[in-house]
Amino acid sequence: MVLFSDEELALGIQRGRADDLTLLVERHYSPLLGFLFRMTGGDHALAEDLVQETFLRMLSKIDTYHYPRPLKPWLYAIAVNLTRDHYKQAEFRHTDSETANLETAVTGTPETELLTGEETQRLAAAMDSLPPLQREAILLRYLHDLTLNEISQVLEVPVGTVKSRLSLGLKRLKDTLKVDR
Amino acid sequence: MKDQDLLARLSEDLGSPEEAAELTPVIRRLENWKAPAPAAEDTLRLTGTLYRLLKVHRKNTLSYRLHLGWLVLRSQPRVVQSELWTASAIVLALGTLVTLAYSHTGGLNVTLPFVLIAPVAAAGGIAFLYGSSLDPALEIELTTPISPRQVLFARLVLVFGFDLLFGLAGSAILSLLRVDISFLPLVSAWLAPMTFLASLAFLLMTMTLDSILNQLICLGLWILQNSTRLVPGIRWPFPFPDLTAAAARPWLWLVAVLLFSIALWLGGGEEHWMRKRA
Repeated sequence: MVLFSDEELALGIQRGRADDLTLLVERHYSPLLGFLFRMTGGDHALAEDLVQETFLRMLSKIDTYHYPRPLKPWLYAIAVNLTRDHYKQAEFRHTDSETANLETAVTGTPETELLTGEETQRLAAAMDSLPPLQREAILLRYLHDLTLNEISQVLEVPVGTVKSRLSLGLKRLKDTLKVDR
Repeated sequence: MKDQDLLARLSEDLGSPEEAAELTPVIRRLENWKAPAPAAEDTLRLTGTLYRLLKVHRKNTLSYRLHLGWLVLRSQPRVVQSELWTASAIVLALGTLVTLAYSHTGGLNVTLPFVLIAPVAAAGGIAFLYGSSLDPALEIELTTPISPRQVLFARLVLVFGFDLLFGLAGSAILSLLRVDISFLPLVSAWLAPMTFLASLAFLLMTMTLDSILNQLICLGLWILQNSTRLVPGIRWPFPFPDLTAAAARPWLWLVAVLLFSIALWLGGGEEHWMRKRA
């Protein structure tokens, strides 16, 4: 079986090939959901909405994609920007996301069961305490295997800035989690 | 990820192996934060929505539009009256024959019969392009998703293209058989007037849907315009601009584009055709 690269699939989508679209969704749905789930502090419903929106946005902008530009950073950049926009709007609407999460937790929906583990809750809280810019960099680098260059493209900052965000974020995380060697 | 790999990555990021070793346990703990797997119904819902969007996207691509244009074009010869092709071909063939027999002293191509006949043949064809009494397929076409503008444009391209081909063929024959006629000057002598007269016929057709009246107007205008050339010594109280003159050609192209555009704009709405038929 021939394995097409993300970029080749994007080219296929530009030409209207539905199979390429399916392959791309199958390849990236789960990692993107994981990324957005962690970015939203474990809000599964919100993460699902954002993943769907990410793919919809990608498809609507597919004509602006230029082969062989790497697709993965572009996809994650859309996801990051959508998350930022969501929180900006939530701030504007004076919505308290923590309250929203708490409400979800109280209702005990299946997705929030993932948050019930003490360790998971602690990790989510520690990540949530980080500034979003550091959180994004850490998640992309260590849980989603993006290279420094790819993260620099996603976040539209120089590689040096990515490195400093990673360093600051990890130190802060270490303190919060009280991790010892 | 293996410890060694993680350490190497952290060292690359932080620039210090000591710091990397110190922060490795943080990443190890972070890896415990498991994310949920996507639900099958969510993935299905998404792919369903994306397929619908992709269909819309396909419809917006140039290749799809060209394909659609080709399909519309291919469907039209069956609808356009068959006599129209024969009539245009005969008129242009006669024009070629008359010009072959015409004693031409050389010089201006504009005096050749072919230059006078080609525009009239094209205008005549366009005049019968569409019309309530001539087109039994009109009502069916109005119910299809293809806009009347596209149908109109396809017919125009077909009929004008047909006349253009015959015109070029006639000019080629004339330039081959007569040493005093050159191909390019001959084509440039009839092409601009032919486009102008065809555009006028096209506009009149969308406005009146009366093919006979339309043809009479075009023919009348062309005869009047060339009357001083056809009947030497004739004098009119007002001067007609010489549409076959080389200086008039840029203006003829400009006016033709304008008339074509107005006609397509007018004929683009279904309401226009329904009102005309009522």
